Amino acid sequence: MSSPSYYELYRGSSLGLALTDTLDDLINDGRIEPQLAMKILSTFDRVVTEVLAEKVRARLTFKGHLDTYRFCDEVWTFLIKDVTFKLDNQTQVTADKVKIVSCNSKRPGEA
Amino acid sequence: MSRQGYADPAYEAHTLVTSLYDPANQRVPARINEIQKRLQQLQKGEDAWEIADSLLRERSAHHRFMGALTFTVKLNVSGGDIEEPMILQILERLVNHFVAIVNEGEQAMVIRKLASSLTTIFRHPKSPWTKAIWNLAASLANGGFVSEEQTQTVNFVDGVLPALNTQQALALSFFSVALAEDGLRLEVEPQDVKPILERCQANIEDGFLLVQYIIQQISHSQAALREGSPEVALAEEAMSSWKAWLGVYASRYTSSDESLRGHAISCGQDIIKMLRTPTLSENAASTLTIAFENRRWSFDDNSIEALSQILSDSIVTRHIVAVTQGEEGSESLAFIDLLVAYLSFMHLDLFTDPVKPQNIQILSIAQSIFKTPGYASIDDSATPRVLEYWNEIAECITDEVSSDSEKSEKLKGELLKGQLAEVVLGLFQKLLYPAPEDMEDWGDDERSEFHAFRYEACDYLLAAYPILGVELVSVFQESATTHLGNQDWRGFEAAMFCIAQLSEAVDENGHADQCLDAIFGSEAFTQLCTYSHANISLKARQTLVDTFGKYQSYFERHNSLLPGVLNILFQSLSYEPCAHAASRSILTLSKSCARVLTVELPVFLDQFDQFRTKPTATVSTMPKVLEGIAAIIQRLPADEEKAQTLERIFGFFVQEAKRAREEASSAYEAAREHGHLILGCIASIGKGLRTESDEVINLDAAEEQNPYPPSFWNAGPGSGVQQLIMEAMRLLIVDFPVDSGIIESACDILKAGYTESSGLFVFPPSLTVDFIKNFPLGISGTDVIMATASSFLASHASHSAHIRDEAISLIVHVAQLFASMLENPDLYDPETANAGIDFLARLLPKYYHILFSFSLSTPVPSSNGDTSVQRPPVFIILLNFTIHALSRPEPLTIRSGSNFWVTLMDLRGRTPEETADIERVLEQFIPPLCQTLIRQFAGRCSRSDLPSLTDALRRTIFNKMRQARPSLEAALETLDAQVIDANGNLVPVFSPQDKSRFLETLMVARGARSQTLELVRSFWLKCRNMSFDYTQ
Repeated sequence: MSSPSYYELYRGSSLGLALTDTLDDLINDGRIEPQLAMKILSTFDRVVTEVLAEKVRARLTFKGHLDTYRFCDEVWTFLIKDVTFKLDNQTQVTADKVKIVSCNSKRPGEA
Repeated sequence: MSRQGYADPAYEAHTLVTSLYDPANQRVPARINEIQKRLQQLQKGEDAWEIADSLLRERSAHHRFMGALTFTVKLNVSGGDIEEPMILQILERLVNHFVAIVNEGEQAMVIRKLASSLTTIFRHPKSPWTKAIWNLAASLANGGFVSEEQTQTVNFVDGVLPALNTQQALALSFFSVALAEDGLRLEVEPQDVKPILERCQANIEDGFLLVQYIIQQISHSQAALREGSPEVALAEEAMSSWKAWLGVYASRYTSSDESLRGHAISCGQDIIKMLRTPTLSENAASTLTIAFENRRWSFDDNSIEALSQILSDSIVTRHIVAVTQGEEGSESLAFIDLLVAYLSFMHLDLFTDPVKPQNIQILSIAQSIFKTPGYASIDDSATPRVLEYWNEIAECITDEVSSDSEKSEKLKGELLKGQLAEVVLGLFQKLLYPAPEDMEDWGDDERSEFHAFRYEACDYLLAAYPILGVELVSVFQESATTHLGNQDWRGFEAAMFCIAQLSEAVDENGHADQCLDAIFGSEAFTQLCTYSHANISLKARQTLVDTFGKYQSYFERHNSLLPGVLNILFQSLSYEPCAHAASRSILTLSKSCARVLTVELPVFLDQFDQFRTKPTATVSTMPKVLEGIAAIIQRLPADEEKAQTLERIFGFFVQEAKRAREEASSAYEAAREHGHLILGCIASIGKGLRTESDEVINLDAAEEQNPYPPSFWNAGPGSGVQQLIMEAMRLLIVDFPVDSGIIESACDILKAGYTESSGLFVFPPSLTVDFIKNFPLGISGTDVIMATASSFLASHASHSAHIRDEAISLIVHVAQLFASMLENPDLYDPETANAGIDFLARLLPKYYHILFSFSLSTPVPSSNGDTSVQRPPVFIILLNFTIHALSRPEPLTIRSGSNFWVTLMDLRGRTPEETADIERVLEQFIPPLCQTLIRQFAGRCSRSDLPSLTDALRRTIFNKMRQARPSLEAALETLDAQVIDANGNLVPVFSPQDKSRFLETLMVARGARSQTLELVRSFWLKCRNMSFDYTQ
């Protein structure tokens, strides 16, 4: 089996969950085959990654105290405390604790 | 005999294709659809191979195209039934057709289609075809199909390739690109394609060798200098081929192969040379840019050296210079992209000692890009691209310089600093805000693109500040003072914009105070404060008022400037484009400098009186101004003074509330907006009046307190002010057309006092209860109302006994809502259900004794007013409803219901009596809870609901295993899940043994999260008759 080229992590987003539930219902009703559902989800993985990279222009900045960080298997994890996010429209959002998990956006073999 | 009287399917296909492309049919979609439908039937049918052959033998490009397509369709449809001998046979036919049509000089469209049919046969799992490029090249050279064994007797590079003419080499390149791109697509296929991918990867070397051969041949060809010549097309195809095979090389399974990488690098070097060929330079630039961005390993030191020579002095340089002079536009952006890709590739190495002369030249060219005429991102696409590189450099340089690495020691610091400073100077012109007449034709997209560029530029300034220091601010300060003195508002705006963005770096530490003094202490600025109606442009005013808010620490240190600054701010409230920023800055400065501003309060109140009548006094500006004023009022020394000032403000709002009520009879929407504005303002005053050192409400404090102790504001001279607030609320809530905005603001007013024990906004508890009970089922904003109820109970948790009546009243209210929904399913409102259950879950830890101890029941309302019929006790209604919520399809109610049961399972009584109460309740409700959970797990709920439902199950098993076990057993016993088997019969999913095994494994997991979830997930999949999972 070849290694997947796009992360499946957006399947856990509310959009991904809604899509998965819908596909389950379609399979259950016999309207599509499971293979098609798999194909749709791999397209979702690709498209959501591309759209987030290319179309989203919203920006935010944040400040906080970096409590812990680690880098393992190409995944960075940051645990930040007392975080203030500043959004585009000048609104501020605060949080006591934030965990940032960041995966390499380049596919294996790229760059 | 086939349809429509055609005896020969091939003949029918010919006729159909002819009709398909007949101009007479082009405007008859129904006819076209009919033809296509029939053609598809034929392409999938048993005669498809003959049809494909026959079509490919035709002389027309349309027929040949359809012939190639028919091969592909048939291969895809019947691929599963084909064995190796037949594959070889089809391959031979396809290759022969390919050679024939190439030699006949067929159109590229048809050759590409047939190349794609060849890749389809290559991709077949049983296809023995391995060295496909070599084999096809040999067949082309031979004039017909040759076997792979025969092929390998002739050397690919020295024997086969020199025998191909330009048309054949081009056709081979089409196939090479198609094969590589197919290989890349295979990588994302869900099926096991490893063997096919391995065969594809066996062609990587031939793919690179073909590219190298073609590029080298073309570099000696005079024909390649002619625009549109076949040689140019061939070189372009070779470059595409290189790009595609780099991708296949990157995704290969085998470990790093240096010889293959050597071929890849060598091709790259040949393509770099193509940059000097005018007809190919743009294409070469685009190809190299993509490779630089994604496949950096395909370049070595020699490649970089060659490229730097070309970038510093060649036709490429001339194109870039032409762009910066406005002589060339988007057609030459590929060269800018290549330059940026090179700069990004080199990164800090560009500045490492010794710096190469050509790199100095390249940096100078890069700096000249900021001189490109036109507005960045709109007319000038080059500047944003090169800025991206400088942003990268500025962001990483601070870390690099502060580290003691060998690399940092070699960095030419002065050169780097000089370059960063030059970027700042270059950027400044680009930041000038367009004149209104220039922006007239801009749409929203253009405006947002330009704003995005300005913020990119600010990111650069902030990143460069640690290196350039206060000098960076002084550049903009000098510009600002000069332009202010000359009343050049565009220049002043751009300078203030940069200063505003740098506030993050310099406001708190005071490093740039001298620079700011030079602006805000200048005569010209004093004039601006005094005559704030001066002819300053609206954009400059907007940026200036925004800047004030960003330098709150500076103004705290220089509070003598505040009256003048606030004067400008209040004046700016009258201008629509400035009002929002001005109100925000008034709030920021009033809060941070409240103490020194108390003497200015009368002036501010007068200015507020003028502002409130203006059209710019809206729900997004007025509350902010009032919150700022309230923050100053809070700093007045005596409560009497506060009361006097606040009475003036609230008196006005009561009058306005009365006006809004009158409006409601005629102008419904206007009255709503008016009411929303009034309540929003009152809520903001509440926020502004909060003391800085809010006393901490200790939720666990044991002492019992009066929830509404007598104070200056409810029993003293300030009580009139509190009455005014309550009056305004009453006017705008009771019998008023409320909406979610009004509800939210009213809730904010109530919540303003929850964190204080005495104060103007600490209202009698009954006010909150009456407010909440005032709203009927299903109203929009129920979630906000119930969240307020939760906050109310939380704020009184330390003296819950004193608000027992209010708590009971709220619980009964929720029970009545739930009972109505249970009795009338049509009335079921998921938002109310979710908000109500959430309220119950939050009150449980502190108020469970009230919930379970009273056996009060609620009357059933009837049409004749008879209330003799009684419902079950309140807590039974509530718990039944939470179980009902778990059985519904709405994810939110499932989550809140599950959360409620998790909280309930974790509950511990403070006394043996309370513990017994809780146990009794659980004893009664665990069986129906388990019944509901098992029914949902049996394939009824959605996959995404499994985690929350499992949480409820886990806590039940962990905390109440004794009751959970028999209840789950009983639930499983009654479960009659069925699925359809392979013969189409309904069969039970689980045998009694399966059920018992599931129960045992759940018990063994003892509520552990991952194990329980995994068990439940498998159970659900079985009930849905699915044998796969999308993700873990």
